[in-house]
Amino acid sequence: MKQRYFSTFQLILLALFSALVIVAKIALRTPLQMSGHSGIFWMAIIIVGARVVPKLGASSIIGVTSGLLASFLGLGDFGALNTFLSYAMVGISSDLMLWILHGNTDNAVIAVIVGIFGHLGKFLTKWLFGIITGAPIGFVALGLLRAFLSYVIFGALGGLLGWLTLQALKRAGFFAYLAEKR
Amino acid sequence: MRVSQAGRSRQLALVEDSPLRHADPRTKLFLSLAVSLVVMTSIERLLIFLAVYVLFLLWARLMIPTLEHIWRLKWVLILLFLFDWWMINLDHAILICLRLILLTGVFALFFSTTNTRELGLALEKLRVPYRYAFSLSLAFQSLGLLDDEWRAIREAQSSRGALPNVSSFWKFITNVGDLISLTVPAIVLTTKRAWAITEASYARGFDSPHRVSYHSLSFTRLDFLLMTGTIILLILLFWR
Repeated sequence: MKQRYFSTFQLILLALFSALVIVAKIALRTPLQMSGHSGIFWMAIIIVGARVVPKLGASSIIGVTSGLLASFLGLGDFGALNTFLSYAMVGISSDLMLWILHGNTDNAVIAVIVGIFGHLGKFLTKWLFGIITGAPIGFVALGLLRAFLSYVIFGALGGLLGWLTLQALKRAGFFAYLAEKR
Repeated sequence: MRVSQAGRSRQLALVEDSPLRHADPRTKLFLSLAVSLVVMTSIERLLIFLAVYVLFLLWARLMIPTLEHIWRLKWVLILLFLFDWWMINLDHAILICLRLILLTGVFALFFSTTNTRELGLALEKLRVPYRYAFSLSLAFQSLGLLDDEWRAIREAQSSRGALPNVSSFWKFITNVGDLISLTVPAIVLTTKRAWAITEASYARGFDSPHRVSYHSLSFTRLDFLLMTGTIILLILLFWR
């Protein structure tokens, strides 16, 4: 039988992680009125996903699938195209960072860096959307400067939360359980 | 399909009575992408196109979902319009707002008239491997279950007093480690579910090399009409 890049289990796991990203996004209610604060959970899930399925493209699959789910559910204020691209970019930029750093998210520093740049992928989409529509750069920059800092902070926190989750899962014997299932 | 948490709910709202429900998802994807290209035209052509587009939306009974998308943007549109008018000129302000309105609403054509099963079939026809198309449908169908599980985890941890206090930004940052009380059980339960689904899929011959779909997509006269009409309109709009 042809050897597949992702096994069926891995593909199903990534699909469910994508659904978890959406559930976390809808569920997270904090009194913080800061843009990008929900990224803390979805970056954590992507960081965990990238470690549980340690292959290039795993984060991108989570991003693209969650982007399609979010578009179907009407999440986001700038329409389905923007929503899809934002979520997809989170996954793609996380994968890109993991590829550049040649590392895995077991390392706290790498997890935080991937969290920041992954989350900034979403920010970049919003910025590009503003540029494509021809909105004045000054207006966009002014509005997005605060958002940029917020995305960096919550991306880093998401990376950290993902790393902490991985350590807790490791202590609980999760990866031994996973090895049996593979 | 409904996902709801803490007073916020999201639902897949298909416009069942839209004539576009009978169109092939590939056609709708083509329409949405083609209409997105129109943002690159001048203000005069954009206005002409919008007049045609509004008539099309009325025919497709998609005016309300599209307006709902645009309504969410009202404050951004107002601010952008005023800012552009003040800084540049009225024409530019109108152009930017029209572009934003078009881009915001255009994919309602696709997402308000297509369900995930149809999208899966369309992806298969577009040569995306069946396993990936299947995983998309699976993710969508699992939303409700994961939502229930997430809610149960929250309630259980909340009753144990294990959820951190996130009433302020600093408390949120200093207590971020405590959020693993939510993420760890969610990841473990999701993995267990993934394994159960994998076993069920294998039992049903998921990886069979001779698999054929029960449903299949095919272009109808409506699809050809929509595609031809869109292409002609685009050629006219971009002509010189």
